[in-house]
Amino acid sequence: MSEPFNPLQIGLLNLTDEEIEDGLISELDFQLHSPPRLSVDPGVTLFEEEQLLNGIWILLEGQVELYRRIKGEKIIFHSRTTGRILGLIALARNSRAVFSCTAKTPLKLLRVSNQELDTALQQSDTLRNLLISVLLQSMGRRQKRLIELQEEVLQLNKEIAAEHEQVVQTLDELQKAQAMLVESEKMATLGQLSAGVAHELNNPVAAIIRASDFVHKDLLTLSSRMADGHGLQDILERSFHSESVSTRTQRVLRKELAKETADTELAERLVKIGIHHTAEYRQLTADVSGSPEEQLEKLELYHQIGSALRNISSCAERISGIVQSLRSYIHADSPDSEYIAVQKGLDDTLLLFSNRLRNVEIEKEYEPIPEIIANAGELNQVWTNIIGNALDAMDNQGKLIVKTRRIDEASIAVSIIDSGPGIAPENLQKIFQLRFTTRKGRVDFGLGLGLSITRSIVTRHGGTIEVASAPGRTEFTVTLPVKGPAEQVRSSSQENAS
Amino acid sequence: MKKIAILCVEDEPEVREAVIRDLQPFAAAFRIEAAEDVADAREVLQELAEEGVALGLALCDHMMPGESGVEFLVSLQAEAAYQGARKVLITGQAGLEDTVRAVNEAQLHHYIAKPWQPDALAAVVKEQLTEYVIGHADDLKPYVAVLDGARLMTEIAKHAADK
Repeated sequence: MSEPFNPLQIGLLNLTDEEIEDGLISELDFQLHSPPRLSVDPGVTLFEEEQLLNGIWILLEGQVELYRRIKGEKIIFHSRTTGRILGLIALARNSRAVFSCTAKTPLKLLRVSNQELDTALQQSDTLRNLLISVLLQSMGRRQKRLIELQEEVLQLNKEIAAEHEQVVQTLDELQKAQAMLVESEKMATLGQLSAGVAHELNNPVAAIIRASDFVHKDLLTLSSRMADGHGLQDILERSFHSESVSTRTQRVLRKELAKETADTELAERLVKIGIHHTAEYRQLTADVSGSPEEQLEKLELYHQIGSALRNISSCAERISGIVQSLRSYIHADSPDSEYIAVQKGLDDTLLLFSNRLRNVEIEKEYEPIPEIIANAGELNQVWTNIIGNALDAMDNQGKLIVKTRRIDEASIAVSIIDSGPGIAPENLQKIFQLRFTTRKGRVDFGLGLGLSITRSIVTRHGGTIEVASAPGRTEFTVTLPVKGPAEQVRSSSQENAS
Repeated sequence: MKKIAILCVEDEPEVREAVIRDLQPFAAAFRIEAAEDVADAREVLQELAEEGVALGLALCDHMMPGESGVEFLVSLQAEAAYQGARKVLITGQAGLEDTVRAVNEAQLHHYIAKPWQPDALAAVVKEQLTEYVIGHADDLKPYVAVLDGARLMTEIAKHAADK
């Protein structure tokens, strides 16, 4: 044992890793009298992790692969982690290997057992100094790598958190998109169904209208062949063409006629068949045969036939009108985008809401506007959603104003104003959000998707939708371009769709 | 004079006419009145009261301009004079909530969905009016021909026995 260890003093630590390693290897080689080199073929495993090494391996030529198995998965480490002396760390771990080590290329190796190393170290201070330097450097390198790894872990955690955020957001958007798809698919199915139903209704309605017309004509012909047919034809035609009299008026007429006839029962029967004066009655019964009771019964029968025919044809016309509105509402036969009359769409929508409009005063303020390029079916969905919401808010009573106006050459505006309680300011921003609804616990059509879909349709058309609300007056204004959406809006909405 | 009235409240004239015509079998024993809305129905009730005619059956549509049929039936229930009247909804548009209210607050006796079958309508009206006359009419004989004759005869026999 000569001089004590002082690698700093001898400047060892100023050398590069390579140089110190080279020094260590040649000194060790010298001290051990050049032990035989081992040759190892690629693929041969030198040692497995946690194996007892009882020495070190010195890599003279070739490359090895260092790895650990973590939960059955092979994790490969950078070979620079260890340098050319394998098993150094194991020296400090009861000689147990940290990594597994397999030859990647043909290797030339020097195997030094712990005993040999020990002997050599006792013989050579230089070797000791070199080994300590290598260990120090190795530790330094590993320490540095550890810090880098911690930084990497931090960075990775940040990235993972950001990605997680992104995934959550994407998932949310996907769910929204899916909900909208389901809703629009439902609307499309409903549209097809109603178009089919509307189409199917056309034939029977046409047949009803024709059949009632035939019965009418045949009855007139039949009665013209009867001796007293003239008066009966008269009453049938009168009843067919008369407007229905309100129940109030009927009661008044009944009372007045009762004064004339002095017979309430008779007055009631006469008013019912549309006869308001005794003179009229005398005239109509002039050529009708039979007793007065028989005459009255005949008149009643012909009146009933006349008014039944009138009811059949007026109701059939109503059905036919509803069918037409339904067909034009769904726009079963038209292309995606074309010139459309916005006011017609609004009128169709209002007609289809008529069962909810009995107690609603409708005010239409239609300024003349040009036809605009749009998808009629989609725009009708917009009007339906806005008007439906307005009616919900008003509980189907109050006043609804529907306005159209021209803003300038390029755009028009539609305003729908209801007299409902208004939207609370804190909700005003939320109403276009998906699944926002104030219809708590009520099973209604729609899933709170209405206004969100409405806005996406309007945006797709290159328009805007705005809302202003105060108690008693909530106004939705939809602005739409006359010439359809600008090219970029159209293409970006197509991208979204694809 | 007929002492008991059937009141039909229906806003659509075609439907009203049809209901009234389907009620004709009862015209021999009952006054049949029509009203086009609830306000009109109240006027009719006023006139009937002035003439001393009782309301035996209110046959009401639900969705009408102004007050709804259910509201009308509920308001009838609040008046002593009309609590005994039989109450029937004939409608295609009353939702669950309204119907429940009619049952709970107006003691609704029957619900007829549109479109109705004339036989079924007649059967309901016959049953309801039979109930009414048994509870309210002094003399059941005038009703035997148009209502549930067998039941009425049994009642008449019971009364005779009681005396």
